[in-house]
Amino acid sequence: MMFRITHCLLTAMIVMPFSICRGEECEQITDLSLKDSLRGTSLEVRLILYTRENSTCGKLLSHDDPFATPTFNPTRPCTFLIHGYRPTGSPPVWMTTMVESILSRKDVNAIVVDWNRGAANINYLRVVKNTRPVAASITHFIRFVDALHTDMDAFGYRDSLGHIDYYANGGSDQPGCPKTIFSGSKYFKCDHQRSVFLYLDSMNQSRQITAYPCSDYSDFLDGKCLSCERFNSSGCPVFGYDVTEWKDVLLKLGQTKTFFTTNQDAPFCKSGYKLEIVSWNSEVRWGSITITLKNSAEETETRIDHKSFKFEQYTETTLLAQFEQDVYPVQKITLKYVTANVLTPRYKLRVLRFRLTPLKHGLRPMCRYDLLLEENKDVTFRPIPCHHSNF
Amino acid sequence: MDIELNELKPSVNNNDEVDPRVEVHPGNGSCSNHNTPSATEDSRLLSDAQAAGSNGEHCIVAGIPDDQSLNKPVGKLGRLKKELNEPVCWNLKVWMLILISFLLIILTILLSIYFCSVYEEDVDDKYNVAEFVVPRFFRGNFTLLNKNLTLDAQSPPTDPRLILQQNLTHIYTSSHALGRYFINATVNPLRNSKSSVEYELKFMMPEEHKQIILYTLSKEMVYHVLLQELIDQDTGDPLYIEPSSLTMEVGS
Repeated sequence: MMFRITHCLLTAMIVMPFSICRGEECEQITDLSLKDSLRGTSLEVRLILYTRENSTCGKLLSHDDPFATPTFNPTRPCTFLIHGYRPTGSPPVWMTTMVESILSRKDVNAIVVDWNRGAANINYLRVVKNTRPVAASITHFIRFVDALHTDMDAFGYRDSLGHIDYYANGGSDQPGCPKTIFSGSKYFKCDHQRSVFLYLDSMNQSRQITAYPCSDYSDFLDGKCLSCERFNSSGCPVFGYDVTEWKDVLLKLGQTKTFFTTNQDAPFCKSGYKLEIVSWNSEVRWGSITITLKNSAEETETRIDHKSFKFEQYTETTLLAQFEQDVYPVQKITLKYVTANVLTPRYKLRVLRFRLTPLKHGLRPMCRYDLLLEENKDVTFRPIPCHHSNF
Repeated sequence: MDIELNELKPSVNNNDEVDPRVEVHPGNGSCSNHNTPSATEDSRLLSDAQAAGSNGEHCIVAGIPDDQSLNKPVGKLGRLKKELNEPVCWNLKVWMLILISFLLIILTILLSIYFCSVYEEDVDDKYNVAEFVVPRFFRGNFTLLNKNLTLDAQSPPTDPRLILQQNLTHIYTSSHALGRYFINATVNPLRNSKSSVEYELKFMMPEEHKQIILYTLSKEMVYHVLLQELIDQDTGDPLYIEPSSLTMEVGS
């Protein structure tokens, strides 16, 4: 979790006692062992400051006198980095990378909140209780909260927490994470840790993920939540570091629940399109669609098969197509119509109009008319620009 | 095979008298020899046949009438096995024939499902052109890239007007949605232009066509079917039509 405040007002901040050290040595997050975790640890909060002047060597911050730490500059914004549950007592591996990424993006006071004593406890419920005093020590400075959910079915929260809540891949199981316990400890921490990697990736401006406001994940997957009108000209908010640009509108909206899907590895961002199909079969057709985008250099494919879609005569069916990578410009599109039926005739989906609209702002939609999609058979065509449509 | 265990009681008068209960009952399904005179110390309780055979195995007992043995489970099973192994013709045995007929039945079911699924016709593939009685026209212009072409009447095989007409006809007859409604295309050079061409497309619709003119035979559809073919055409074609020059209006 990470909180940011625009101006640094640290003087009245700390309620928990912590040790003060003014030595020249570098401070690290407290390193504990599994033994400590099994025995249980009592809460102790330390604040470690990193700035561009000391980006690799953390300095302890005093709650009475933060200015005593030479590199602390109150004119710079502050970014707090707070780790979560540490069942093994080890310091989080991602913290150093996170600090480096934050400092390379912006000149801030990066303050790592080290509460490993308190977070390292085999009793998860005890740790949950400790989060309250930790949060209390800084929350009254925070005016804007963004929360990312990646593991809400295990060590996470299901309900909305912040001004904006992100539910990555629906908020529970993350792509690429083991589904069974046979994969060892990874099974327990993969989903949980993903949030950190997603956040780290979000600092790279070319890999930004757009989050879509929606009431639930299945509506989002069905392409029902692609409207960003409530955010006016700025469009839907991005996930992660740069969401602060949407701070004002999000504060005004109160609470916003958003969804997005990711790849299983970095870069996590997907390339999204709205797919609309108008068919003319006189009987209703059900099925899913596989779509491939190609140009001379790249090719990417996605299967929109999380459910069977209904294609009704002269009715537009909307689907959300999300590709692992960006293919631009698209020169060829391949479509395949797939049904779950086995012992039935090979169905045909008779398409009047196919339209693929990039979700990325400023890119033009692509169309093709009069397609006959025979079940399990690829149909390849060159998309044409879409004009004004009447149906 | 079940063999009921009977209690064997020692005879009262050793060797002399035979207790009727001692005798192994043939109904027990065991392979006892019913003809064993008596169970004495000298004679064996079990016949040679059973002693030799393993327990539960069928054995043929001599001297037992056939109808009696029929009532025994052992006999039934044995007979069945025997009958199954009887050759019918050539080397084919009964059990082989039964297996073959089963396989044939399954094969017939699978084949019929397969053929039904492949050959079942789609309702949208069936239509009667005679029912299409209401005409619908589309008219418009397009420009040829080749400005040096003369579109005036020439001998039929090279007449560019006829070739354009054929090209338009081909585009619409091979259209999945529009092909069935398409009648013909006519092309005429525009009077004041060398490379501009005027065209007319004629379609016939069924009596009930309220939805058809909104969707399938809408201007958007008829226009884009032609436009996408123009975009796809080979740029080296002497009759290359400039896609951006295409216009279309619904005629009456």
